[in-house]
Amino acid sequence: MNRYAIFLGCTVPVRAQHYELSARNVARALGVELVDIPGASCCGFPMKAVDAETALLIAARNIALASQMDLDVVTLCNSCTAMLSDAQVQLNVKEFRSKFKKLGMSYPREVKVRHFVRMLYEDIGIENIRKAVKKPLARLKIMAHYGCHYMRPSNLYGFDNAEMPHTLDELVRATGAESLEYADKKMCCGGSVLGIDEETAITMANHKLNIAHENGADGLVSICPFCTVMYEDNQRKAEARFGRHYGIPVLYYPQLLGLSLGIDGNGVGLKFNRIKPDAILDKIAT
Amino acid sequence: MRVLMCNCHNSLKLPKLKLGPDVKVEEFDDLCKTKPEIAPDEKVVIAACSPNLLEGLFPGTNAEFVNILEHVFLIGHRPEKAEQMINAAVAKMEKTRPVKTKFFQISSRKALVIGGGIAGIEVTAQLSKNGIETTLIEKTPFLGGTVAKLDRLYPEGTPYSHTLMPLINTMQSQKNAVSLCNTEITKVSGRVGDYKIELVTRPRGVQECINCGKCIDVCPVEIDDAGKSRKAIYYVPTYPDMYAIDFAACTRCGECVKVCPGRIDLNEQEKVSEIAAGAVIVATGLLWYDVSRVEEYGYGRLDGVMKTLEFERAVAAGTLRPKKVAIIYCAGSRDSKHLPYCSKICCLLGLKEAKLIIDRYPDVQVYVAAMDMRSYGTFEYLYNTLREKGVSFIKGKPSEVFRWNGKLAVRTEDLFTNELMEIEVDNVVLSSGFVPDVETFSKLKINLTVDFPVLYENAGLSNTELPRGIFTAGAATFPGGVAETLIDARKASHSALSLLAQKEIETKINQAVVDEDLCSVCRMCIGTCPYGAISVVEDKIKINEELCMGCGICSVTCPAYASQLEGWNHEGLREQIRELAQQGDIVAILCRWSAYNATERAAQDKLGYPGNVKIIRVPCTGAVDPSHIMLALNNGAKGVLIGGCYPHACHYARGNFRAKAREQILKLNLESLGMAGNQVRLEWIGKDEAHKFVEIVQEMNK
Amino acid sequence: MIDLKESDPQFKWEIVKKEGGEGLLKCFGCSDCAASCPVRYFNENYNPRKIIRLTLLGLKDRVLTSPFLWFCAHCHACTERCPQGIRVAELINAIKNYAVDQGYCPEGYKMQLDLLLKMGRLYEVEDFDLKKRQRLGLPAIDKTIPDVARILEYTGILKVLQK
Repeated sequence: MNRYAIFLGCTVPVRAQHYELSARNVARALGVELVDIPGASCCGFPMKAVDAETALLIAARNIALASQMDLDVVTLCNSCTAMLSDAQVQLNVKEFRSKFKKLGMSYPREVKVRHFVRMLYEDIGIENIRKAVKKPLARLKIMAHYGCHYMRPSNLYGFDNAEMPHTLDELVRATGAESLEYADKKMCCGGSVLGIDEETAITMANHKLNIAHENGADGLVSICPFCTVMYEDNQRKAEARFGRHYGIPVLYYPQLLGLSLGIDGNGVGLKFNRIKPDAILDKIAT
Repeated sequence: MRVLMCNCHNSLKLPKLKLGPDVKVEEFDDLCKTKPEIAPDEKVVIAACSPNLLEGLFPGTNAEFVNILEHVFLIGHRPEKAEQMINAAVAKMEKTRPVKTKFFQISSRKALVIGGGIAGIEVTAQLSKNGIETTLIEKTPFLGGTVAKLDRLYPEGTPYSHTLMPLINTMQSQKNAVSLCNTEITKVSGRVGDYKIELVTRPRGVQECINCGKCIDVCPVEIDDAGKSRKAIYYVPTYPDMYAIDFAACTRCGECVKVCPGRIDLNEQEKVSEIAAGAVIVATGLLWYDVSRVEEYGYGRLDGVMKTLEFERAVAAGTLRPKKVAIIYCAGSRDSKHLPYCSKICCLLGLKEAKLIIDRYPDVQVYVAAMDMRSYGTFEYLYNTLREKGVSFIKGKPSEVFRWNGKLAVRTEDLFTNELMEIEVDNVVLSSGFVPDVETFSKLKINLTVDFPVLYENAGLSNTELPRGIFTAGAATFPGGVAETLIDARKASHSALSLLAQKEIETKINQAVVDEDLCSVCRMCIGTCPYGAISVVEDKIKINEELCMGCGICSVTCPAYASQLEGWNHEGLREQIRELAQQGDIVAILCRWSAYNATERAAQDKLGYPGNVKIIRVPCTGAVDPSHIMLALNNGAKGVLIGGCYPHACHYARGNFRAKAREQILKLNLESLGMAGNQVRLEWIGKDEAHKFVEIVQEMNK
Repeated sequence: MIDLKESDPQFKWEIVKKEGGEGLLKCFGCSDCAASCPVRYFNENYNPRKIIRLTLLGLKDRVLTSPFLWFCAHCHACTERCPQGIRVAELINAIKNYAVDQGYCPEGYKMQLDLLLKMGRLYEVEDFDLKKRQRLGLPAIDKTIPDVARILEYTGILKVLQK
């Protein structure tokens, strides 16, 4: 059985419990054990723009906790993945390591840091997921949104293809749903700009919502709580700002996968989705 | 041993030397005019002026040069220093391994030219005209290379046939020239003046062809040949004047044999042959960079995205008629992820393609997106012409090519207006850079910088001491236009001619020699040689005399001191240091190509420095062994300066980087012994940087 | 007009020294970063190339006081494309770090820093949240992680709050 330390970060356990719930239930269904990290904190990413070293030390502490548990790390948030991966690289740099040690922390063995979805792709595999699917979501048209820090920067991750990402599309297709090819797939949701300039951020989010609307997508699939904040929580704002009506549900990938694995709506926390995915459920049901 | 001293027209007061009975001292008023005879096997110490001058007057002697003029008298140091320097030189020479003279017979006065493009054809014509029996081999079935694939040549747009056909005809009219198509080299052995090359000639499948073309009517295999379609049996109107089968595409269905019995043989076998040559000229040309690797531009993924060559051929063939075209420059060039260098000709190719389409269809709207336009020299006129023809030039590197609602588009920033721009077009042409055919280079052990050959054989930019008899010509040297390629081909021809005109080459450069008794064949030296001169032959380390340039890097890498440099072996150097380094001295071990010259310059510029600075001349900082430094310090020297060429300017490509790596390790070792790491300094000192040398030694003296 | 009398020749070297800033001097101004940038796509006031250019010219005050410095979403679209291999997003981040050090920290970041100091996380975990988690069968989480405050004190970043 695959065992991983699960790093939740700040947003997921408080604001996106449906993401967490569906990820845990999907993991269980696929024979993956997720072990919580006692004492895990914020990943450090919010401090990166202020002081990269502070952010890296906070991140390194979290990896160190997993390392002490002798487990590789999976994360649910793209930004957490990037921040912890950065720190993992730094832990091999002498100067950083000595600062880290001065704080009385230890990093007994090198651990891998990966996004939960990447772990599904690499360790479980498309074939096994396809086999585990009990209820193929055959008629759904999904637009997969990767977010930035899932595969960029490529020299940090060496995973997927930064120009033409495909792993999430494959994972969506494994559930039986159609994954739409569309322009500007790699476009950023705008989440990092939200606190600085809401107008720009909403315009960025609107771009992809508009594409989804024009492509007739039944829903967007996201793998990052920030992206969901932009596409779901701020969808109303985008609609108001651009005078459109979208009403596009935004599902976390484990929610979509969970449904195909036969987990019910409660088991993937559908009631917490702000834009109700009723149309999706209707399509699946018939 | 003799010591030859020069008093420079009685202007120097020479020291009275007290040397052993085996050493004979001779004094001259003007050594440079008298030029005393020195036997080839004799060891001498020449105490006079600059070795740079004296080496030319006494070529190929086993001499240690002591510059008493510039290191003692002109700089106002005491004559005792001169005596000590000469004593140290004598001590060195006693233990020095003499330089062996090497002779290379030019046994074959024939030449092999690899590559049948314009460069190879021109070289073959030039050599055969001058009486050299020359074999030209070409790996495809037809001569002409890249040029034969083009529609036209820049800047004017003349058809390629204007240039190519006269070249081929000139070559064909020479009785000394032989050309073999479908032929490649498989094995090379021998050395300068005496190469044996094994060739393989692959089947053409066609003989006694009358060019009727019936075969192409029946051939069912249609393939795309860089933008133009052709059959598996095909013809290129250059030479030879007959069809050929592309066996990589042919399905051997036999349809062509039915319409042309007796002249087509699908089962023809390949032939192996061997030829002798005294010189080899590599004219393998260029290859287009695989631009599909620049993923954001969508080549191979998005319909309508083409390479320059494909675009040119398709437009010329009339199969492409776009209304709007965008030409993207530097597609994968000057890019750390792709080709870090500028291929020089792609800017002009892009302009040529713009002109081609506008000449043919004046209503076409052409956009050229270029981060820089490098229309060097008079090619600027072509750039001017195209602006006047209405081409829109955009400054900026496009970020991507994409499809939006079925339309192909380029996204870029226009640096002229500082605004983002999306250009909808029918076709995107990627002007990508070029790479050479490295396979041939590696078969011939040609050293490369980045991707292209080190420019030393033809251009004489670095080492010219040892001709290997292997030359590059044309785009194999570096991508160039047709005119540049032909000029380079002529340069290569003349180099080869002057080599083959000699009966024997004599060289006397210091080379590394391996003591087999000490060598444990650990192979550490192999990777450190900048020339690939070291290899293992029959379980022994062997130094290739044609490749070794005498940097001495291997002699320091070798943990057993088995590899030693003639004229600068460790034992001799150690004796010199032992004799020279005294309590409180600064020992300056300096590269003969840079820092040593700076010391002479100091004397000429009247820049004084203390008399305790003792100078030792070495071929390269990469040849300085840590034990030499430790010896100087143990002898009481308070500092050791190692001076060499600036990074990337090393005469031996990377000797100074080796020195830098060793310096850091040595400093750590010194500190662990309780000594000050800053007693040893490695400095880059250019040949004219006397002030820098003086500042450093004064600092070290504090 | 750019007045180079205001230029600080040391500025670029100070950025080069910072983590992520090492590639600054490689920039040859091709503008691929700007053409790749999603923020710039929607707001032409932001331009990574311009920030890099002004930094290279030593126009420190203009760079540090510009509100647009903070618009970078750190999405790395530019990093992927830069032909000179500059980690552009990290470079912009290095300039942000430098700006904070010089006393130009946006209020939003100060608030986040304060939250991390107090709780070690960005969102307060209220009893209501814990009950909700319990109801969903999710494990309990710590309300505060004091170790984070230790790190903040160690790196000296708390001085930002005093300014």
